[in-house]
Amino acid sequence: MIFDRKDIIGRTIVQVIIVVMGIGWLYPLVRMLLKSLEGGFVNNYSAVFTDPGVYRYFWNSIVVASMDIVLTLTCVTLAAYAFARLRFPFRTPLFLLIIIGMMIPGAGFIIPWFMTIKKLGLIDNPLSLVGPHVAGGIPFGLMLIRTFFEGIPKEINEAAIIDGASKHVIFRRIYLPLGMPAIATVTIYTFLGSWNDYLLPLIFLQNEAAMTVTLLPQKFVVFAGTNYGKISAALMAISIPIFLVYLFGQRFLEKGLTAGSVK
Amino acid sequence: MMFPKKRTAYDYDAYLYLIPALLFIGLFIYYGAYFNVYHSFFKWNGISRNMTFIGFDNYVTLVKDPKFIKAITNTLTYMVITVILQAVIGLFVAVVNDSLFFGKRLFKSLFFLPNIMSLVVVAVIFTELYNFNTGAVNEALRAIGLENLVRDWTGDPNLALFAVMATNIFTYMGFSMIIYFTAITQFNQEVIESAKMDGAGFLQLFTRMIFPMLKSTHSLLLILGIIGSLKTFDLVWLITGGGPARSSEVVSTYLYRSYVLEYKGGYSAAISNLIMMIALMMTWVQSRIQKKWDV
Amino acid sequence: MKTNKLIGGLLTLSLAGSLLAGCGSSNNGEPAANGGASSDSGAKGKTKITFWKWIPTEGQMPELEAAFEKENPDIDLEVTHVGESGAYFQKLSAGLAGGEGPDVIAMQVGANANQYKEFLEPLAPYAEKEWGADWKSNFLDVALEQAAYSGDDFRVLPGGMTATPVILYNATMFEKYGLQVPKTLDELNNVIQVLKEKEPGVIPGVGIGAKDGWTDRDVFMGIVNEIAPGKVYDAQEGKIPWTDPDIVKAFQVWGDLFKNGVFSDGAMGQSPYPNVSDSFTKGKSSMFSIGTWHLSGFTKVAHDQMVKDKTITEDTHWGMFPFPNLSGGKQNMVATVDIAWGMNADSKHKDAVWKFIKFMAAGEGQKLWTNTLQVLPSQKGVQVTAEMAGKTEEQSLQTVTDFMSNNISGARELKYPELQNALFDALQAVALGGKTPEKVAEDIEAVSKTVQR
Repeated sequence: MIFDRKDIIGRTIVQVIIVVMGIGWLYPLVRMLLKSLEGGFVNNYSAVFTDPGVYRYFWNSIVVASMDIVLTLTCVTLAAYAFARLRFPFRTPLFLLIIIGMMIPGAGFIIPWFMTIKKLGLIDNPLSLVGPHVAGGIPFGLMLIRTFFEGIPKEINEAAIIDGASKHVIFRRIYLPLGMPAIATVTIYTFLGSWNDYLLPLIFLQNEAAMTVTLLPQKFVVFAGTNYGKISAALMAISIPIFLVYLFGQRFLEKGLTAGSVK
Repeated sequence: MMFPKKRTAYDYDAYLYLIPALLFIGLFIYYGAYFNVYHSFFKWNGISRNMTFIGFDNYVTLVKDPKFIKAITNTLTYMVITVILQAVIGLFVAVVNDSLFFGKRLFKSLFFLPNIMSLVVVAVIFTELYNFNTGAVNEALRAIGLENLVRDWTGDPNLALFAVMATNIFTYMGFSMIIYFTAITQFNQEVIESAKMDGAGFLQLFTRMIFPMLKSTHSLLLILGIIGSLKTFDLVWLITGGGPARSSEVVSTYLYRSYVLEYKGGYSAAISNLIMMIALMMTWVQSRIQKKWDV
Repeated sequence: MKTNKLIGGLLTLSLAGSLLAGCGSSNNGEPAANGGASSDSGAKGKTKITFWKWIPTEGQMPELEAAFEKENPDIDLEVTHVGESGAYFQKLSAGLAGGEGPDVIAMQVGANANQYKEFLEPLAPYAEKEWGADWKSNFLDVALEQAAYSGDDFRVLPGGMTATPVILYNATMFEKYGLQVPKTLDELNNVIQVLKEKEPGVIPGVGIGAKDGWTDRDVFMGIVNEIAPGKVYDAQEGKIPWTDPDIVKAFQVWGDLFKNGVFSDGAMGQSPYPNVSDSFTKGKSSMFSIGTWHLSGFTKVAHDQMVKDKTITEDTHWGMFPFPNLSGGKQNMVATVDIAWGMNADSKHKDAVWKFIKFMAAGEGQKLWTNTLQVLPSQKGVQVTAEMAGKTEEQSLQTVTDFMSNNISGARELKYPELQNALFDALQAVALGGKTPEKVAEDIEAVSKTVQR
């Protein structure tokens, strides 16, 4: 505690500041909720959830997010282990080569991605999103998990080598279990990035049966009159899984991020 | 970087561990980068099968383009202000968290929440709040008699960019906060407690101990902040569209506008490449500075 | 290597994923889609043609699709709805560049169509075969003239018309205070003044979503064509400079609308959709500067739906009037073909695509769609027979129809995207008072000189 426990004045001032800020952060969220109730809760939300296509949107998003998570974790944990504990030529250049990818704005990649996806035969398939998502998620995940792996005491590693364990066994038996906090963090971030993506689904998916959740609100856009209530209800509906993940995953988010922040 | 010193031999099978990552990066990042480098030497409308080779013309036009220069200035302003404020506010909230009487967990969760929401949702909310007539910001000002502070937050060319920055801070402050918070919890509490015994106040503790101890955290946030602001697109595009009259245009909205709305495929490829070069340069400079710090 | 096992496992997982999602994307026998998206081509022997669009809206499409498939039982139309035109064109350009565009292409004339020319099949031969040498007499002259922008071989055919600028007004509010539809600027100012005094809770002035450049352009084109009919199109082609005094004056008149409070304060931060439209619908503002497509909210069907959704009350009625006379010239509107139908030159089912274009341009589709009033007819002799929500709605439709026949002064859109974007910037700068009319005219002229025509 940075304040002395008995420093009531200082702590009160701080408490007041935080409460005021809290209101500032809470208000927009409440406003959103109220907006989705405009024109009637039942009316808006039933319009969203009775739409026969809506479950397909959710299902597709779940499939894409699961694939994103599995592939990102596979790529990232393997690479992080190599960069953290193995010694090989071009180690640093290869690491930079992967990290640099994170610096290019996605808008510049629309056409090349489209062409790659076409070559892979994934046009109008929700899985077309997976490649760009995984490639985009690797740099951050790699940075995080590599730092975490580096923090695992090397003595454990060396002891295992002496016992004759292969690299792969060490990776699976030591680094994967010990790296769980960071892996959980990357899992959550991958899920969020995947679920919230709007630009790529917009471009890659044509058939409603292939669409993902961020394309849901546009169904309710009208050109005369207003549909704010229904659009907000759709936005709320697609945010619910996010809130749930946060509720249950918050612990991991904090723990895992520790890795990147302290060395 | 630490090497296992006892072993001199290379682990050649390490490459096997890199295959999946390199596969995805190669296919989706480097193919795209190659595509952009190639097309930046052509006059091409972004869709046509026909294009004309024009050498470096796109780059020459670009560095002289006042709209691009304006976009660069805006991006740098955006970067400096959001990165610093997010860090400062986040650090403050993280540092005082355990001194609160109530709501330690509650406030932490609340501040972090926007960071995980869809930017589309955040943008819709803030567009609402900033509305001149019906938005909560102006309504609040009118209610407390500050009528003369009422502004068209997203429609005033002097304010539009700042309105987006405020949204950015709302969204990402919580990220800085969590990072700082977790870093602080790793500190040796005894050192701080004993400093307090010696009579160090809030300010002294903060400036002499906590701030310097968080050096690597600052630098992590700095790198992520630089990269994030160079790529920032959704919030700007959805809240102001880069307007009015391009007053809040940033590099990625300019890229998008040239590419999608003006059909300048070759030109926007050049923009994309330039942004990447700027990002590389900044990261390099940042790492130099950090090395100096560390010594 | 044990690593191989891991990578193998990874591949298995990906494969499992493809199977999962694969069944989602195509072979799903259930018509997952309501509304727009078509059922799947499961039925054998049908020709499947794909169609992407932002209009007809999700509410309008099912009727059109059903009518088309009834008329053409051997064709299966697969529709992809994209929420708004900006997103649509982005999707279209990626699709076409990647060789995966739709069979039927919804186009705009003007800035967009020229960019897509090479992907569009010339339609004149199809039209001639279908309707004979005299096929052009099917369509309104203004519609055909604009459809020919991208070449005399007609890469697109008109599917409907929209016209601007018009002001949408709350007729119930007008009636309450005995206000008449204004024909001059003074009359409009008077209406604004009266409403400001009597309805303090309502946002004063005419609402406009000036954040979106096209909405500014629509008003400006009306103004410039009132001052000097046709001149702006000469400037577009580089025949006269943008610094022409008449064009500069049009910028001045445009800027004054903001300075003198004709347009509501805070316009620059708002989009027509959803912001201003929302305020207007809820009665928070009394007037809204927009286009004729808003007549689609005037039909009885639309009115009843909004009452049911509780967005308006039963007794709320709307009307629409052309922009009043601002500078002593003639009241006018500018029109555009909206949307224009195109055929993907790479389509494998050109005959089926033609059937759809025919259906929408000069067939049952034209009648059905124009009856929703999303667009006005571009085919000659098509009468709108939709039942309107009330008297003012009916009169408004009449006024607009009259203007369409007699007072169209030119095109809504400029042909060159860069020039059009420069105009958007100029109009916003003048409206904000940040630049003088003379200065912005110079700015556009500078861009105009770089445009390749």
